[in-house]
Amino acid sequence: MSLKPTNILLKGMEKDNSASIDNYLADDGYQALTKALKEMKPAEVIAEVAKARIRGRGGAGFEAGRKWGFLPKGLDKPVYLACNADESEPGTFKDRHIMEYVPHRLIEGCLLTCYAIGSQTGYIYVRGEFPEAQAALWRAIEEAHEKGYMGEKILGTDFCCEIHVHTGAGAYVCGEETGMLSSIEGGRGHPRLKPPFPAVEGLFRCPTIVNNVETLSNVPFVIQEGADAFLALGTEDTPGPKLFCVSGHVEKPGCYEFEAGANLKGFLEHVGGVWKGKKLKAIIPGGASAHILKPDEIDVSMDFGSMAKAGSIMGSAGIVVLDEDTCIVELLRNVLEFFAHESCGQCTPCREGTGWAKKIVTRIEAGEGTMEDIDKLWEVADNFEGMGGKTICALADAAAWPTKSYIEKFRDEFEEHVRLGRCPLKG
Amino acid sequence: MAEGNGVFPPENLKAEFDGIVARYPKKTAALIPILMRLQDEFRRITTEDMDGLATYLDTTPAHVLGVVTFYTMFSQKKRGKHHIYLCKTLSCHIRGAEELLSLFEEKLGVKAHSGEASEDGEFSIDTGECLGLCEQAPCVLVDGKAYGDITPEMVDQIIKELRG
Repeated sequence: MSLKPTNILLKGMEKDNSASIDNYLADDGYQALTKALKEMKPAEVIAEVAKARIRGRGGAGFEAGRKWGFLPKGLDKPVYLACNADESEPGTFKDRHIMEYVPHRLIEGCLLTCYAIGSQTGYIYVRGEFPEAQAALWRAIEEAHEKGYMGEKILGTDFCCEIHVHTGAGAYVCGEETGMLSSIEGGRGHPRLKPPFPAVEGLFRCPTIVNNVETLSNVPFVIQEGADAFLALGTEDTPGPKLFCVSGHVEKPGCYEFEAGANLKGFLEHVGGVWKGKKLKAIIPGGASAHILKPDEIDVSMDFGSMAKAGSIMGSAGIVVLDEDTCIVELLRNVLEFFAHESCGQCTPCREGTGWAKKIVTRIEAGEGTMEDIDKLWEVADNFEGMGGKTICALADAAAWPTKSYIEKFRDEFEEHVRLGRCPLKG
Repeated sequence: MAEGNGVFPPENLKAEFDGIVARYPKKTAALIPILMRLQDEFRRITTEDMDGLATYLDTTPAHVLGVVTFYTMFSQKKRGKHHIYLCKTLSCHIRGAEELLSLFEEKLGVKAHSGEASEDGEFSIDTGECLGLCEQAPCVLVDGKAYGDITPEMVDQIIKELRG
């Protein structure tokens, strides 16, 4: 699919003081909430969201409506919403744009979701490194209270709801949904074994729905315009609008909104191409965890299914452009430093494996590696890839994918470091 | 010495902390937001405050210490008045973060992750993993404010601005 711009998720962000409730109301803000509370039963809201097939924008792509359907029925326990705003995947900054520029869209999405799932309390877990986003959300919450969209008996109905911002304090692993729950409860950000899944037993041992910022920000449009309007956008695989973040060696880095399924090659042209007129070496399409793509692999539609078919992931849609002067070995060292630092340490394959891989690649980069080291590095990554159930969460997988794909696609560059005893790109 | 003169919560923060606790069905959930406020206010988390906080939230000092040591935004050593987070990951890395770090360290006379502040107590610096400001790479976050698209020439200007 070519590029089709949409103006749904970031609508209004170009205005002065775009984060204010007055601006949001002028763009028909809170109309969806009004409609749902006056005309729809909670089950109807769930049905509409399920029909729209909003796939999780945090990166996993799981349908929000289906997830909501996993809530146990008839339990005498409170239900919580936990919005994942721990946006920490290197190369990703889309949720920050929503929170800083149009926070009310997220707040309305949270309120609609709470209404649908029967929750009176939602927490938005915002990473500690986003103080401006936190402040924008707190202001939005205060404004929503003042206008009667939050609090007791919202819009004169029996629906009561409070949304709170919960700050993180610096830990990538808290973006893993159960790590986030541990962190909200006041613990180290340790991911938990599943099952039980959060929808059954999450926050404070109560049923909890966890959704990403962008996912929830789609809900007002789905309720206001209907699931069919949402399904008319994007692809069969991934309906709806999508935010794409682009950074690195690119002329116009930034956050862009298109229908899901935008062509990656066309997107790169749209953002001005590789900077300084240089040649493209590779693209990381979905955050640091993603498998790297070579220039002849980027004629691909950016939806979950197509990116998987292309041998990578859509992930968080954090696109990092790499020019011809980039050293892939150095890049892998940087990526593995990240994952080794962020491993929570619970599972041996991840704790030991990411550190070991980092040491090997550091050695190769310094020109002190051997040809066996290259195979060893691949094997170590293959071993800590946890899809076989070796680790609690997917952090080890996220470290294995770049490691294996960088070696597979740029093996000659690793070998040259060994042969020359130095980086071939640095003279 | 406790930062609040031995009283926990410190008098000026008590109402705020009580408000944070009220957001949750369990007191311990207030731990990280309160630690973030303490870190902001006193530039470090002291053992005395950890003990006081444990009592205040009906948990144990070991639990509080475990949390303080897990998250990178907490420090038991006193940070500078302005604590600089310099992003070192991926997009910032490929746009010159390592060079910037050396420049900041040289000009401030303080090393990242040393746990030390500059001699005048004004500055400390750590590298941060991806700060989510990649469109402005390379970038730093200081006192809650982001500085992006930093060139080596801008480092002096940023330091001057922070000195006020």
